[in-house]
Amino acid sequence: MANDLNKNELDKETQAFLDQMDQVELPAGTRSKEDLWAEIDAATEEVPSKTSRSLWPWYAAAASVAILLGFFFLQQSSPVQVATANGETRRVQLTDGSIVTLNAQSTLNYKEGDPRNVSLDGEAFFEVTKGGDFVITTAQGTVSVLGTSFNVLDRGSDYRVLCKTGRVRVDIPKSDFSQEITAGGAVIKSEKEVLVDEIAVDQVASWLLGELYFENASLQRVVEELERQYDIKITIENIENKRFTGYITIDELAESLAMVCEPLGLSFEITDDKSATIRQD
Amino acid sequence: MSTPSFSKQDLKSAYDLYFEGLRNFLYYKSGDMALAEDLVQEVFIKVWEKRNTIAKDTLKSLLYTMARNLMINHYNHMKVVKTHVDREVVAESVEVQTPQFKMEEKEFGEKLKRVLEKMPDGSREVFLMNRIDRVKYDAIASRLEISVKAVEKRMSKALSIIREELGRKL
Repeated sequence: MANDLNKNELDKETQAFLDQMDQVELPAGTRSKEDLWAEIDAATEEVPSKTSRSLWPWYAAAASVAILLGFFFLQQSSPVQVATANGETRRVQLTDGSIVTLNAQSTLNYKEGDPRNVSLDGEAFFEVTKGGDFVITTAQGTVSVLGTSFNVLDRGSDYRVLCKTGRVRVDIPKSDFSQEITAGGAVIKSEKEVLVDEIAVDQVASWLLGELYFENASLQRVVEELERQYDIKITIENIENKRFTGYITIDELAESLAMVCEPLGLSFEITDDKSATIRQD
Repeated sequence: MSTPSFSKQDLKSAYDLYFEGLRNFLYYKSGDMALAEDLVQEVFIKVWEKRNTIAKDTLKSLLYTMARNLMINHYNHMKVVKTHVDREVVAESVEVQTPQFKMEEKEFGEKLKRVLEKMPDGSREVFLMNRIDRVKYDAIASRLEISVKAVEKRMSKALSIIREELGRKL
């Protein structure tokens, strides 16, 4: 079992073919391993450490003050709810100065006296002012932060936190997951697993700019997002296992649908202003 | 709160250990050696930029994830460029070349080329990782973040294509 594959179970010709595979070599590289390293070495020159670390004690002090204030205000606060419908996004400023931009079909709840402790259903981009812990609770996890900007999505079994600036901590109790991520970091939970990945900072909340970015997403998920953005019903006819990676601009429905369908070899039809159909060519 | 620090020496050790595997993986996916080398460099530079957030025990699979993402981004970018250049042309997938290999025997070389062209991308990379880089199924599974069962499936698909193609020749 040295190599998992048991050649003896194969017919003679296939065996002989695999034996010849043993002599196969890759073509020579265009540059040597050492030369390639030299360039990496130069590009990763150590620079004096950043000042961000030295801010930690300050953050900690601010956090404890905020916790005390939190207790004080908790007594006398009325609940606030901000919700968006399909095809709508909304930007709200909380009383601590933090700004939350809600994507379509999402709900934000918090108490007036305790704006740094919010709950979210759906998707939102957060720009949190410096201060104590700012905690976002969703059905699947919590994100705690100290002055930073990031995107949180909790829809179905998908849960994603993408950090644009600063640092955030993500806790997903059910998956026994707890980790800090910094700018460009991403925690991506699907039905099966939790991944820590990195993404380009400008993709963190591409929807704010009227663009959606998907990476290896199921057609179903892409369509659900388009339904929310355009407030329509999209039917998928007899298509299985299509996955999409790329940008979609949210401006005109036909254009958005074309951006999804063309690369996947699918066609679409816009029936009326409330429905569309995607099918195999 | 701070993650254990990731030093330049750690980066170099990771490079020494994983360079070949990553470069070959990218080559199997693209058939373009110069591109594979560029992307490997980019992977290690990115890892360095992220050094404060990475956990050493998941480094290997992170390297492969990054490599895969960079490859997707590369081809996506090419697709976008292509679509912009000629909007009339329906954005066809950017063609990925089949990897080429050095070998003594010409006839075998042609057989191999034909077989690899027939294989779906998933089977091709699993087959080449296993037969050329000698990576075991469980290690392939963790690199590609798929199950061992899925590796076995792709491998048996590869073998059945070989069998079919060899039969056709005769």
